[in-house]
Amino acid sequence: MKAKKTLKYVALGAALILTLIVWLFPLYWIVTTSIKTRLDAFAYPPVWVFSPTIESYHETFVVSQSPMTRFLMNSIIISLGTTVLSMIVGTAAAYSLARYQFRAKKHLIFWILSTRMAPAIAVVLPIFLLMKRVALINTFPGMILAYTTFNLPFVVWMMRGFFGEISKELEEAALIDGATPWKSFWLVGIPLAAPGLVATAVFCFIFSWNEFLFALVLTGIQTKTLPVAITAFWSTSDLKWGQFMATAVVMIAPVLAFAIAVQRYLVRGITLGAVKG
Amino acid sequence: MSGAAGGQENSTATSARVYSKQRNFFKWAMLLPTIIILLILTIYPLLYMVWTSLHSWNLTKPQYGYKFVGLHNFATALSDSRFLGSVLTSLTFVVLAVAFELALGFALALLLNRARWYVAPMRLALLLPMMVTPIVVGLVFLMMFNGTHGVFNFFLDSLGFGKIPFLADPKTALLAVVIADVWQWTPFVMLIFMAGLATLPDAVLEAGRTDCVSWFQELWYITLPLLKPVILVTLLIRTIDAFRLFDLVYVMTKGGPGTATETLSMYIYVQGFDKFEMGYASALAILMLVMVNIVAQFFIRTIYVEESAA
Repeated sequence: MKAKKTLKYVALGAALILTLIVWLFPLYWIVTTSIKTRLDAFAYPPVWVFSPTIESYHETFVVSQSPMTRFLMNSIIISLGTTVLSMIVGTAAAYSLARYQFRAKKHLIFWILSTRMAPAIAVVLPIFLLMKRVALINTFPGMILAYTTFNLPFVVWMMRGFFGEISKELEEAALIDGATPWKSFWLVGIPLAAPGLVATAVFCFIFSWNEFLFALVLTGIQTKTLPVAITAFWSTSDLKWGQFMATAVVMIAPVLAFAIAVQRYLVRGITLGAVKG
Repeated sequence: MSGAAGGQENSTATSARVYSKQRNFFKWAMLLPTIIILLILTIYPLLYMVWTSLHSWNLTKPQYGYKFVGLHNFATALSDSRFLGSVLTSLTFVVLAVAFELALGFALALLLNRARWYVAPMRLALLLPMMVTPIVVGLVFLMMFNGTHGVFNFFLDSLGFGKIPFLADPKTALLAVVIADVWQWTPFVMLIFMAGLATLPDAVLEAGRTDCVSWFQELWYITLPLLKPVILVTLLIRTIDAFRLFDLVYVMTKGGPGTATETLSMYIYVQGFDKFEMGYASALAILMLVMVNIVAQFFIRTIYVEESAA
């Protein structure tokens, strides 16, 4: 009986460790490749013990001919821009939908959500044609607007849920005391929903930061974001794995930090986030 | 009823009306920007795409212009073997990836469905992959699957299986993409299932245990039926998402070798942004929208109806 129990523990432990190895190995490989020398990154059999170097980071982000720093800035500008725009516009709509009655409210909510269901390729095709016509291709406003197509419905959906969870009583008390609807929204509702606001904003940022297809189609050399830059770099250079992985680390480090910060809301955010193009 | 009381009632009604007018303005002012932006960014482009799908239009051949061809593009699609092949590739990908993700995700959720010290750190470690930029996932798997110096082949070689040129062989290329997708999304399935398992009524599980059902019986007759709604939702979310796969394919194989990994999104991309056949690409995109919509309708009805009714 005791032997059986021990065996069970060993099996459980082995399963846990194997799981950890399988799911952390690619991340480990990204990070270690980024701090290997060019030769070590290519070595076969792979080198497991090596002296780390930051030359890949230096070459990618510091050496002046390298445009990666600019693409990093582009990613930041576009992701922040769309997050701010979607949060302001979407939170207002979410509050209105959470607190007030509308005719055909259900249809309205369905429509807002369904705009998020469409496959990215089907959304980007007409957006490309229209933006070409109004000269928004390869501009920051164009990219920010394009990303708003998936972030805005996301914010409305998430924030409507968060406003629905906080009790209305405080806001109603404010209204009875003579506050305008705006004041009760701004001074009571928003502070109460602050954790949800932060989580939603973080998700918007991550989705935009990670987005590839829209950026591939709608950006040019001036507005290219990191995901597009890294793939373009990939096809023009002779397999500088160290530099790719250094860029990859810079790309995923902030996202992983954010993900850990909002892990409480992760399932909710991605359930809807996964429903995007 | 006395006159005084009537007057008082009247004035309350008036102030309520003024009040509600103010609120009416407020609620629409808050909502309208979103409606306007979404109309401009989604409905207008959609209509424009429908109109374009009825035309022959190649951006690289402006001399032929924007010519009305009726349903010709749709007829072409139905006899385009590369299009039908890409639909089949997408479906194959969906079946393989989603099956593995659900099975593995469920197994992991069962493994971690207990109150032990290691559950929180395991959860934290496992939630990282799903946040990694898909392009980076593609790149690192591309590097690891490399036929000559990839670390994956090093493991296979050390174990005596020899090297497999995963991405260069049409037979294994799609599988390599499936593996990358399974790596990224299994933890997501696991998290949803863990949340689902946590809501199961303890009383039912206890009853099963006192009746001395085996571990497998408990799983098959109690846990799985209770989890059915959660499983269904996860299945649909992953199906819709996997069906439009683009990023991983673009980085890992560009649809190759040949068209072995060309998914529907990839093929539409090729038609639209490689050949610039805007009319035809629009028609294909509309067909894809119809396919996704059939699944999405089901999806919306099953989960979100109850939530928005609340």
